[in-house]
Order: sequence, then C-alpha cells, then structure tokens
Amino acid sequence: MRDVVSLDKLKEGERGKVINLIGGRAFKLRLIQLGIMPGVEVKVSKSALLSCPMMVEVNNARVALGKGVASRIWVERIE
Amino acid sequence: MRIALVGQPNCGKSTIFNQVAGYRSIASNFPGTTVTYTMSDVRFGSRVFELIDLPGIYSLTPVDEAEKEARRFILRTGADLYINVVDASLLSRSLEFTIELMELEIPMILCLNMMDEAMEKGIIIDVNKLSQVLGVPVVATIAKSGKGIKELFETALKAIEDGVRASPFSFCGAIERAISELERRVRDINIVGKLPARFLTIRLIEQDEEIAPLVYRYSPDLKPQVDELREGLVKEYNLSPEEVIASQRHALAFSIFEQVAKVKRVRETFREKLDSVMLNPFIGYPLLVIALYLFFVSVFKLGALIEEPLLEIFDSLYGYVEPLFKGDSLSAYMFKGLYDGFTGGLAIVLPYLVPFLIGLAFLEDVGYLPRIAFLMDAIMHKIGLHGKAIIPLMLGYGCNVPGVMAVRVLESSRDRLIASILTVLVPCAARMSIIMGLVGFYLGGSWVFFIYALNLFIIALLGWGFSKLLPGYCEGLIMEVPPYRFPTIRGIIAKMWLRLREFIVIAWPLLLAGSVILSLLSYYGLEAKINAFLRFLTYSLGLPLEVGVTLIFGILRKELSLLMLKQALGGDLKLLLPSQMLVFTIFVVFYFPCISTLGALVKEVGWKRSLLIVIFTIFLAFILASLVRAISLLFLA
Repeated sequence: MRDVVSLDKLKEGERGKVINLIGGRAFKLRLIQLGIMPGVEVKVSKSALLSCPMMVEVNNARVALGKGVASRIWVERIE
Repeated sequence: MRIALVGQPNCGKSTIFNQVAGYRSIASNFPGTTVTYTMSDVRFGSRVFELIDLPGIYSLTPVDEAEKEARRFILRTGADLYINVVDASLLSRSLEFTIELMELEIPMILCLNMMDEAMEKGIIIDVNKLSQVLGVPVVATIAKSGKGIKELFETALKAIEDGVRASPFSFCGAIERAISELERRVRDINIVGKLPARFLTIRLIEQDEEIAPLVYRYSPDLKPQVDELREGLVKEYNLSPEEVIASQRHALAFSIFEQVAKVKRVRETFREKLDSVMLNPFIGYPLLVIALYLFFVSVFKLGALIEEPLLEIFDSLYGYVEPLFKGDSLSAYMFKGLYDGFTGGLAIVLPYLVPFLIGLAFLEDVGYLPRIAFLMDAIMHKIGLHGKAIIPLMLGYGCNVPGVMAVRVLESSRDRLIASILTVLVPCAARMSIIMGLVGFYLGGSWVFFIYALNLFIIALLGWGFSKLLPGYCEGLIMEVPPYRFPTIRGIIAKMWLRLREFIVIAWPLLLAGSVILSLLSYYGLEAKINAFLRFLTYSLGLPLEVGVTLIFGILRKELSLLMLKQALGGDLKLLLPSQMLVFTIFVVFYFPCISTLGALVKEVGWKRSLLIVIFTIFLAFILASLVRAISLLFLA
C-alpha cells in the first residue's frame, strides 16, 4: 500500500518521494526552483519541532520549509 | 566589452567579482546578498572589460524582486558574454538553471565554483566531459582562495573571440512535439528580434507573465493555439506544462550530472552535525541569545576600551590648540568646529564601528544569518511575517540602506512594506555608536541593553499591529540554507573596510562640513533662531535648547546629531543630565530614517508611503521619548 502523507508528518531521517504540490503558481515555482517537485526524493534532516520550520535535504542542498508550506507538499513515504 | 556573472543564489558570484574588481560587492554566506547589480571596469592583462555582478537567480521565471532585476538585465540589457557560476557541490540542481540559460542561445561559459566543497561532499566532477556535454567551455575554480580565477577570465576573453554560443537541449515526448509545432509559427512571426524563437516558444507554453502578453500583443491569433496546446499537455501529463518542463529540465540535469560526476559516500561532516544542535529549539534559542549578547557586549567593551584613552588624549591636546579658538573671530569659530568634528568621529564613532563591522561580517560569512531566520520563523509569524524577513532586519543593524533593499527577497508586496517599515526602526551602526558612545559610556552597559530591548519590543509590537492592519496571506518560509563556511580573514577585513570606507569618505567629510556650518550658524546667531523654532520639541522633551539644530543634522547622518551636540554644548557631553541622555538617544534612534535610507525606501515602497513612514517615525520617536522622560522624572522624584 502506498503511504501518502503531507511532508510535515515525516520524522527526522525519513525519506519521501514528492507526489504533489498544493498551492498557487508562485508557491509551486519557488519549490520547483529549489528542486522540490513531483518525482523527487527528499530526506528530512530536521523535523518540525514546536512551530519551527523543518529542514529537508534535496539534491544535496538543504531547504528550510515553514510548517504551513510543508503541510501542502504531499509525499509518499519510502521505507 | 561587457561580461556578466550569472547564477543561482550563494554560488559565489560576488566573491569572483571581488577577486578581480577589488572588494566592491558585499559577499556573504546567505542566498540573496546581492539584490541589485554592481558593475566595475576590470583590467585583465592588456584588456579592459566591464564586469557585472548580478543578483542570484534560481530560474528565469523570477519569484522575487531581486530575481526580476537579474532577468531584466539578461533579457533587455544583455552582455557580450555570460559566466554562469555554479556551486559544484550543488551541480545537479544548478544545471537546471544552466539548461534554461542555454535556451537563450547566449554566448556563455560555465564556472564550476566551490570545487573544494564538492570534493568534501565526495563529488568528483570530470570537467572536460562536462564541457563536451554542454558544448561550452568549463573552468573549475575556488573563488574564496582565488584558485582558477585567472584561467576563468582568460577562457572568458577567448570565448568572446571564438564566438562561443550555447545551443539549447531538446526535451522529449509530447512537450517537445508541442514546442517544435509552435516554434514554426513563432519563427514566422519573428517579433521580438533578439530573443531566439525556441526560447519564446517555451515561455509561451510556460505562460510567462511578462513575455506571453508581449507576444500576444503583436500576434493575438497565437493565443488560441497556445491555449489548445497547453490543454492537450495537461491531459497528456496530468500536470501543468510549466511543471512538465521543469521536471524535464530536472531529469536532463540529473542525467548530465550522472554522466560527468561520481559520488562517493562520505561520513556526515561536523558542519552538518552542527545544525542538529544550532537549530534544535531547546538549544538553538538560548544559543542565539548568547551569540547576540556576546556580540553586543564585546563591541561595547572593546569600544569603551578605545574611546576612553582617545577622549583623554584629545582633551589634553585641547590645551595646546585652544589658543587658536580664542576670540570671537569667524576663523576661531570654524577651527573649533573642525576640531570637534574630527575628534568626535575618531574618538566616539570609530571605536564602536570597527568591532561592530568585523563582528557583523563574521556572522554573515559563517552562515549564521539563515539559521537565525530558521529559528525566528515561528516568532516572525506572530508578527505577520515569515522567517526570511529577519534578513532585512538583521542587515539593518549594520546599515538601514542595505536592510531596506534586502526586502526584495520577500515575495509579497505586503511583506515588503511591513518589513521596510520595521527595518528603518532598527538601530543601525550609526545609531549604535550613539547608544554606546553616549548612553553606554556615561550611564553604563545595562542602559544600552534597555534601549535595544525597548527597540526590539516596539518593532515586534508594530509588526503585530501592521499585520493586523494590513491583512494578507503570509506565504510561509521557503529558503535555502547554505552550509557553514569558515570565513577568511581577508574576506572579513575587506568587507569591514568597504563599509567603513563609507563612513570615512561620506560621513566624516559631512561631519566636518556640518561642524563648520554649525560654527557659522552660531557665529551669525542663526543657530539660536533654529533652536528657538524647534523649542516646542526640545522643551516638551526636557532637552537643552541646543539640541534643536543637531536633530536637523541627524537627518543627514545619525552620528552627526551626537557629535554636533558635543560641539553645541561646548565640547562636553557631561553637561547633559542622565535622563536627558536617555531621552535624546531614544528620540534619535526612532525619528526620521536618515536621508540615504529615505532614498532606498522611496525605491522600494514609493514616495507617498515613504513620506507616511517618515511622519510616523517622528511621532513614534516623540511619544517614546516623552514616555521615557515621564518615567525617569517619576523615578527621580
């Protein structure tokens, strides 16, 4: 079964494959430019503690994502 | 001949620029340091060319204002050659932009920068192979240490002679078919002269906000065809065409990366582990407070350590030069003004400015600023902004001008307006020297802390208030966080000097001129008239009458108000009561952003809003200063 969740639900060290981005054009563009787009694998290097942002690794780069942003990125959990 | 450096944010364009042009462009370790372009004539061997340092740009579809500026340059102004600077440790992602750039069919070469960091990450790149695949020359560099820079510009100049030009890659499947079909029509129309037809076609399919309307104006009958093609593509891929193109560029970049690079697995470095401590909310916040506390305390201690003996020296020197100032002649007045202006700048401003600028440069270069943005995101949301807005505020502590300009890194115009209002309230280095040199020096360090804390509180309160007043959706934080880097001593000194020079060549002469003008004013008795005119202000704040005219000078440069005050009081600041020192400092900290900041503000938010901000800050300063006065009166009584 596919385990599809929003990105903020992933724990530190977990990986996920991006399925969909939910938001306006500028929102999607910004994420795509930083390499976060459907089909790409991301690794959570810092989970969202309290109301702090989270940090993901994608393509060797680290990207900080606010909690609201991360909740609009759908990923498939990779075991 | 014109050569432009273009590339994604934080890949080292400014560092390369500074290596050949002398230190002229602030380079820091966070994405978006350069928000406008810097140009310089560079002599290289026997050749002279113009080198341009463009703001970093993630792709040719800009999201923020700084990126728009870079794109405008590429599409409108243009250069004889582009050096696409690439962070080798992020090669795969950077190539996505390179591929996009090549669609423009421009003369370009690739600069593979930060080779040392790529190596550290276990990425080994075959430079020749990359050059073959891309079809343009590639040069490997480590800009920080100057390695490869000479070869880079030799290659660039040769590429201009050889007429090197990039040619675009093709995509695959339905999207490529759609592009070729439409490209024939676009080629027939041949409207926007300089831009290649394939580039225009891709932009039409991507529905570029600037280019598409422009093309449709020339040829409206193209629109139905584009719409039809787009519809077909959405059906085919189940994604928007711009997402399809982006993911094809991504796939293309990745396959090039796999052809030219080998990746060895390396152990997690210390630098990477550091973030799990620095960004942990339970450890990160205390560390942030300690870091900033240490920063300000060391600036203050160091500054006071230097200010004291300097003041003593000038006081004892005063005995020797005093005869020159004797008498009521105009020249005596002017001599005294010059002496006060010169010594004031040297003894009161420089002792604090130098350690402050060194500390700021260190924080910027090591890469702590984006971490602060990360930590502050949750708090910034409470005041209606997101974490990235902390960057203009932080830069504002150095100088409000780059602070206000840095609001361009924010995506929405509402965020930019709120951030620029808050940024002009941040006590810049000039105001810092007043706070430290007057309040800190005479009343002690805890009062310095009080003023900074009050300032921070007011900024937070106003941020909260404005975000309620200007409702709007806050996009949320999306920000690349660069690795920690060891700053080079040369880099820090050079940056400190670039900022200090501004004080020495602009503020100090202004200060000396101001001193002379003040002497003239007092000689002709005009000073008293101006002071009388501003009496309502000084009187209601309980300040000496002489303060009036100095507040006008403070509009030019904030330091001027203190140094002029010293002169107006006859050289002795101790004539002020402690409560008057506080009230004066609070007023100067908050009122009227200086003339240069006003200039930057007008550029970012326009005349009307800038004027409103100015009026607002004067009221704010007056209210706060009155409050502080009332409280200090209560306590004294």
